[in-house]
Amino acid sequence: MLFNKKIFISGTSSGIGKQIAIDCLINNSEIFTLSRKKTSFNDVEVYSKYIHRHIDFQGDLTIEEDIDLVVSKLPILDGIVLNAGKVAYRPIALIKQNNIRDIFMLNFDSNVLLIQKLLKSKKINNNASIVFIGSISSHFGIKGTALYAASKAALSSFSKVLASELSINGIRSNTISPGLVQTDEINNNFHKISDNKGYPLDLGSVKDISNQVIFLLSNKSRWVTGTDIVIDGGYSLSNKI
Amino acid sequence: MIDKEQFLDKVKSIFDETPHAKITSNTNFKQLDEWNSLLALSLIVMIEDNFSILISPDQIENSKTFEDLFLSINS
Repeated sequence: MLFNKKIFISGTSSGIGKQIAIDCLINNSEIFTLSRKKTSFNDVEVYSKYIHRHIDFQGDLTIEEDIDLVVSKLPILDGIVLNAGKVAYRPIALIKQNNIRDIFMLNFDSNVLLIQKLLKSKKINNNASIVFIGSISSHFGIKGTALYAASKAALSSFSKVLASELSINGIRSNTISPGLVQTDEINNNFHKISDNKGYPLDLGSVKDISNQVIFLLSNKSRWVTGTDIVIDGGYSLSNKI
Repeated sequence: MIDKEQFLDKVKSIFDETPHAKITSNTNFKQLDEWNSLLALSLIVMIEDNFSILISPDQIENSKTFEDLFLSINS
């Protein structure tokens, strides 16, 4: 589906990002990944077959020099997946200024800067597809998620404006808002406390999200732009605001 | 090593409805009227902010009293 496309993916050391990287490879694209931690794909059986199509960068998107360096090394891209981000829950009563700064820096500011720099250096091909990974929480008002939800909502709004500004070159931009999927991170953060009931189709898997990303990166979605697609196993059905 | 008095003071700071006199080492906190999931999150965040320790929700789940929680953090 993605034959010979050049695709950049951030946040690929685990979970959804890693699955997207693998599925992009399986669909015959060339991938450029960026994570703060070194990405190890050696546990994925098919990986050795595609290793020559993968270039991995290590860097911190909250550091502007790191963004500049990565952008300078990237080729002209046909697909961009902005997945890097942080999940952090905190009651509003306990929010301090540095908490706001930290989460927006990671989930919003860094992605905006990265896109700006890619655009300025003409690294986004005509008809390219940009995919932001948001969150279902930006569509609800789940207790404790204020900063996280707001940062993802900001990203979703940014994606819409981007879609509009780049449409002249046939470039598309969309957000995917996943519900709770099973990743390693779930087991050691606050998800257990948050309301994880109410998923008619049970919790999702990283593959459920990756499939939609592949579709958005492919030419089959050529008329889809500026949307925010909720993929949540039906969570929204029983949790209307 | 965290000081127990300091720990209890910080615990009191996140309970708005419960009289502070009712918050002691032996308080069975999940039985308090005020107890809910947001307070559980507040406890986690309070411990992270003040004592730089990231506890898991299981530690709250498995604690009955503030003493239990205090011991699980200090262990």
